[in-house]
Amino acid sequence: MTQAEKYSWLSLITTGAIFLYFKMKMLDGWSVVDQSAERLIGVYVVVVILAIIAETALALFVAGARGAVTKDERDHSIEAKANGNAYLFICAAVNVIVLQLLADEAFAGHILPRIDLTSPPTIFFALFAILFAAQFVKLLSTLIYYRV
Amino acid sequence: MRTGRVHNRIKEFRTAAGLTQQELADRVDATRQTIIAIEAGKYAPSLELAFRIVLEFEAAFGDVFQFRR
Repeated sequence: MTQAEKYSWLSLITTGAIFLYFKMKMLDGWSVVDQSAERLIGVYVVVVILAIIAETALALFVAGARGAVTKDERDHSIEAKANGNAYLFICAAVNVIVLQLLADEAFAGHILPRIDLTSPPTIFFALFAILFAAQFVKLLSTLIYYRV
Repeated sequence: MRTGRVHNRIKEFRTAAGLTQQELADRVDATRQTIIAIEAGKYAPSLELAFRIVLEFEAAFGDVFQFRR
């Protein structure tokens, strides 16, 4: 297993842990908890700081005595493909949100599943969840490409 | 990652040179996993890495790498 692959596994685990914290702060069951903007900023700051600490700690841990995560052209090629998949995922997710907003306006009372984007907590949760999901797509793609 | 058309005889040249996959990887500035993937035909190296490998074996390019239609 290359250093880059180890990094991806550990990053997947830490991203999952941070997402669980985010989910715990934002959701009650399947519904988004209504919170003040001040509390949302608090959650935002904590999540960003946790992500920075986790990535920095991982880079130092995986690098170990070698000084840096050793990557060669195959690692970069895999990373580029995984980034491409994450980009496609974000495009698809944004399109779903746009279509959902337009459908809500155009066909009021439709029975399609709804993503409530009418308040700051729900918008914050939806957008951050997309970023987390894109990161999962990237990391899972990376791990799959290493194995095929 | 499967290349299909680019075939190579790296394993043959490497064992003849008495090199391990790690030693070859270190010499051509790649990871052992990349050498494993190239030998297994799962990854086609860049032209630069292919040349570095060939130069390591002091062989002709066409002897190490072949492209089959």
